[in-house]
Amino acid sequence: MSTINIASDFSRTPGGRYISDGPFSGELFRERLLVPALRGALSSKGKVVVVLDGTRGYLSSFLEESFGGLVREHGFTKHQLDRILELRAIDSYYETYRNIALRSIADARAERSLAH
Amino acid sequence: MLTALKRLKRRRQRLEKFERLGKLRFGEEKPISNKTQSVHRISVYHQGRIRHGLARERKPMPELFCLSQNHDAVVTFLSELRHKLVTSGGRFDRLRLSGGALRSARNKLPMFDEYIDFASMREITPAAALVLASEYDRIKTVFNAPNWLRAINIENWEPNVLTTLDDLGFLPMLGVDRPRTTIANRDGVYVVPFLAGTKVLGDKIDGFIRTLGNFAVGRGLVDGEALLNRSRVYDGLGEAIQNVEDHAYPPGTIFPYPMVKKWWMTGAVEPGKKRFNLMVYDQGISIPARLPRWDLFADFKAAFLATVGRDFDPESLDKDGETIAEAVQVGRSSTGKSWHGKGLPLMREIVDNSAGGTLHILSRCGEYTYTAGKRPVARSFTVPIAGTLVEWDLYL
Repeated sequence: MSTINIASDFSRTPGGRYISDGPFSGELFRERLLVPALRGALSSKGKVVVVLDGTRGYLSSFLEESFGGLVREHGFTKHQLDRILELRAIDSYYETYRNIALRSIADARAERSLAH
Repeated sequence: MLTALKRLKRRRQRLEKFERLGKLRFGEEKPISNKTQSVHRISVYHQGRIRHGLARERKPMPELFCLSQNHDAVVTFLSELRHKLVTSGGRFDRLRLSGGALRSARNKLPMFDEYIDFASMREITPAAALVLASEYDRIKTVFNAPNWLRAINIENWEPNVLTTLDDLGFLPMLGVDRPRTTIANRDGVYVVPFLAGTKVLGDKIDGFIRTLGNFAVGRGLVDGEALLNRSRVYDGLGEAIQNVEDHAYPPGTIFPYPMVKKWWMTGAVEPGKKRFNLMVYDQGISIPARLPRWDLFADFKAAFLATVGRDFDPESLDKDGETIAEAVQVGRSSTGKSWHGKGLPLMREIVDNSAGGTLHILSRCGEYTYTAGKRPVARSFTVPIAGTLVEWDLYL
């Protein structure tokens, strides 16, 4: 099992959607940290835990691009992600963000059939 | 001593000559339009010095510089100001190319055809001050001229207007570089310096919230920053800025004036009332104009037809208030669809997370006001503001 703590491993002040929108975007987080960890988890039959706590907050576009983008851009299925990805909100304050991220995964439509 | 006297005498002679020339050119105290036009003396503040000069035309600012209470006058003024700044910026640019700007700067007697008279303002709100500051900031960026603008007759400005503009960080754009050692108190309200940017910059938003929180903490509101966090202010400001990035300045759009793809942000805190006033402004194409590019446009059009009773026309200004209200509503009620367009409703949620307050959106001719626990109110003005202003007034 690998753990990504967004606040300590990425940024305490996450930014917007795309890399072109500015630093610490959802796209950057997905490409740099999330996708490599998930690919590793797939091959080792492990799990990735993403801790949402500790940041100043999140923009919905950051969460959507990070997590919805896994389905849309990388062809992960919701079923796969349920198995290998765990979103953790230790403080109840971050529960809202967890729900947005989970809804993003559920709402996203795959634009590529399979990418792994 | 003698040299100083000689210099004074020469200056007086130059003043008299310019006044005589002015009378010849423009007539004796004869008004040209509805404004005060005659050659008159002014004081020009620049980099710690006050110099006396002459000007012909004075363009007074509205006495009440407030976008809500005096909307049409203020927005009309801002539109004229934009035009004037662009034309005089162009003139400055041409002068600079020909070396005339240097000659002009060396000129002992500053002379102006026209100037904006800030002394006529009696009151200015932080939101209106931010929009004003954005015009000056933009034009300085467009013409790359950091030392071009001047503060005229600053000694006559209303103290509360001067304080707001000083706190906002506006004065350095007019060459008033007096270092700010303290933040002046204006009836218990503290305005923080404005920020401008071109991207979604989490660290800038974070710094801004810290500044506001520190002001509050330093003045008795010990949990100021925690209160701002609880209301998810970071998310709301970020959503507003992401909206600017996504929609305000679409590629290929031709603006009537030279444009910079920027957002401007400021805030005020009233610790005694646990009140925070935050605002983000852009000079883009406005919410009603950008709706046809929205992912949820089909849903919006249907909802607009059902509510307003006619088809949505992005060129029509008279229902802009209703248009914004409908866009917020459609964004809130659409589920299982694209997340693009959720920004507006999420901005509204900050108000719901607070102990009370208001979200105020001004875009083109429309105004949308949402107060916690009440039905949103929409209205439309006849004079459009350039871009979009999002303002929260929160009680935490």
